[in-house]
Amino acid sequence: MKRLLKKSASLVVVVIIVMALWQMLSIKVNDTTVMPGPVFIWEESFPSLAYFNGSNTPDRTQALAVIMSHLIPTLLRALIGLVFGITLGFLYGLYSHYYAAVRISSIVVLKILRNIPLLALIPLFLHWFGGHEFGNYVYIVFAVFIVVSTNTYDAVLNVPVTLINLGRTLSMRKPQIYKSIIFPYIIPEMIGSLRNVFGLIWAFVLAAEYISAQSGLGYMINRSYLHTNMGQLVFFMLLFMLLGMSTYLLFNRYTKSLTTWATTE
Amino acid sequence: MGNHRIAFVFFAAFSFLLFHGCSGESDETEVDKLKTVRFGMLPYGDHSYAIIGVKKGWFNEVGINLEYKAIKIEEVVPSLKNKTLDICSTPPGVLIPSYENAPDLRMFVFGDVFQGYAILVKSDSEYKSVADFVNEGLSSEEALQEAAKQLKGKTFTYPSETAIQPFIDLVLNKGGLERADVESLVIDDPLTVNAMRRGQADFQTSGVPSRITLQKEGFRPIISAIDLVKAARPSPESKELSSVFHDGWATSKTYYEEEYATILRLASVNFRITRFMNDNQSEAIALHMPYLTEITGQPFSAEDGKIIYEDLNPFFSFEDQRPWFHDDSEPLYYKHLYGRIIKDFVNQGAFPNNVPTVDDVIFADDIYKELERLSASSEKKIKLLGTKTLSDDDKVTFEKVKHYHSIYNYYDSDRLASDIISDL
Repeated sequence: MKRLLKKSASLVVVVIIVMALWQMLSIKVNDTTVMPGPVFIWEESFPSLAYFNGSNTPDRTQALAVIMSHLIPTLLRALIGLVFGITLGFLYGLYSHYYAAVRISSIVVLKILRNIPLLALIPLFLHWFGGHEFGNYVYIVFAVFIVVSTNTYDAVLNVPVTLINLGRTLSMRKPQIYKSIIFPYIIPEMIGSLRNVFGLIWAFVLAAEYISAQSGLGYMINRSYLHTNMGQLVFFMLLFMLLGMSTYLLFNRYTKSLTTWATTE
Repeated sequence: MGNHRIAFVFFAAFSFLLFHGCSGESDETEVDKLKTVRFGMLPYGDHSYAIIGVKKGWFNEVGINLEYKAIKIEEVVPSLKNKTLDICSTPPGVLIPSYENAPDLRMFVFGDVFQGYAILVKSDSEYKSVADFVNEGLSSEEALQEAAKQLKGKTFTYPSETAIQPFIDLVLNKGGLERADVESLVIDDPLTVNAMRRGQADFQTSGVPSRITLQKEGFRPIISAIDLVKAARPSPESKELSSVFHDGWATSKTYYEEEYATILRLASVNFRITRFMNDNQSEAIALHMPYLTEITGQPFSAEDGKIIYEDLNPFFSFEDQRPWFHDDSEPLYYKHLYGRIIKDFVNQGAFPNNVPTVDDVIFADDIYKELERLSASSEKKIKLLGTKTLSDDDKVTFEKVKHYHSIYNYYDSDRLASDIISDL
């Protein structure tokens, strides 16, 4: 408990120092359209989000309600993208080694498709799905799938052949080799990969919402960008930073126990 | 137990995805007697005015349930092409250059004249406006030339979107300049604002949101679309027509043909709204600006509404639009204006294979003239029915006929009048 309090206190001090430096820099620049400071963000930009509710005046309570109402679809898109993308990606990466037919298709999926920049796919998805919500989900799931399937494929490839041969020597059949050797071996590498995915998911969701969504934080960012509202844009940057950090901490907390046996530096 | 929980969560997530991704936005059991029309509007003052009709219940009144949403400009063509939307409010500069890839799309009714483009400069800069030169004793044309010449060798920032390119070329042309004579800084519309704020550019032009943002911060226009269009001649050869265009509603040719009655009803509501915007400006602004605030996340006051309605894109009623479709001595006659716009896009290389004619992309003239025909026909029938003794049911219908006639819904007015006459 003492350690936790000490850690929290250090964090608070760091945050205060950063905020103070930022505020000093914004005073030096003296132009909120270029470098809005934390005070300006709190007093002007954050309450101005109430306009997304059709409000006539800036209001923090309404702004908070607006953020929550748009955060929910963003979180939902992220969750669905993660669940389906990770499941499909993991299974595909795994079965690429298990079945020859899937291995052949991996030449296209893992060697060609993975090299297409995901941002470049957005206009294509826009034209294919015409801004339909389903298109947003497909894009996010696809983005997660590509990352996870590639990492899974590589993780299985990295399993030492000696271990697999050992299993064969012990008369293990293929499913047993996967269960007893490959799965346990690839977990630390997959944890690392999934940690990346949990960070990248916000970029994928933001990209999908920015171009063609009717709700979500990306939608709000697009509107703020259209009107060059720097204060609102900085606020959203901070919000995404918080989301990313929270995801990272939660992920670490719940996956730590899976790799206690693995050596760490 | 853990496996069941996981399975349940998986199933729930999958079900939600299936439902959420596929379901429509409205509760159809409440409005299943109305024709649902999926409508997209751009988040600008000249494209979101349909909200006035929604809030007044005018779409419902003509049997339409409008499922509306604000969309981005990049979504217009894909959404109409993929039939995700039935109708979009859009400038022609978005549809026309897409003709080769989306030849099915048409404008079918107009609402306003967009004249919001302007060249902006810093308020304390030495650059003079057209008005300044006129005050010095120059003629309008000379003033325009001198104002445009100021761009030579300077940094000029503008977006890459197709709709604004004709205006840019026209301004440069007036000053005897070409693109190579200026330092072009071609960036996203909102980024042109930052370029001006930071002094990275001397001159700027872009869409209305950026113009309003900059003017509120003290930047001033030196050349506007209004300055240019004053010199326009009634001909597609008149380059000045490149500075303005009509905003309106567009659909696919397929939808237009399959839902012709709906198109006529939609057009009638469009005209009802534009008449209201002129006759009851304050009330229209009070209905419109809160929605514009909501979909942009930026405050739009009543004063902003006035500027939008009076300066940037004045709205025209059914009666006021008559010259656009009948008077070829009027510069804004649709064949002159769209002939010019198509020429500009040809010059930009937008049509490598297939150059559209005006009638390939504009059906607004057909709709306007059809409404005129139906208006005359229903007026004749109203006069006739006024002399007849009607049953109680027919009297009720006759009131509807007159009401529909008064709100430009000439299609239903004429149709119902014909029904009564056939009963007699």
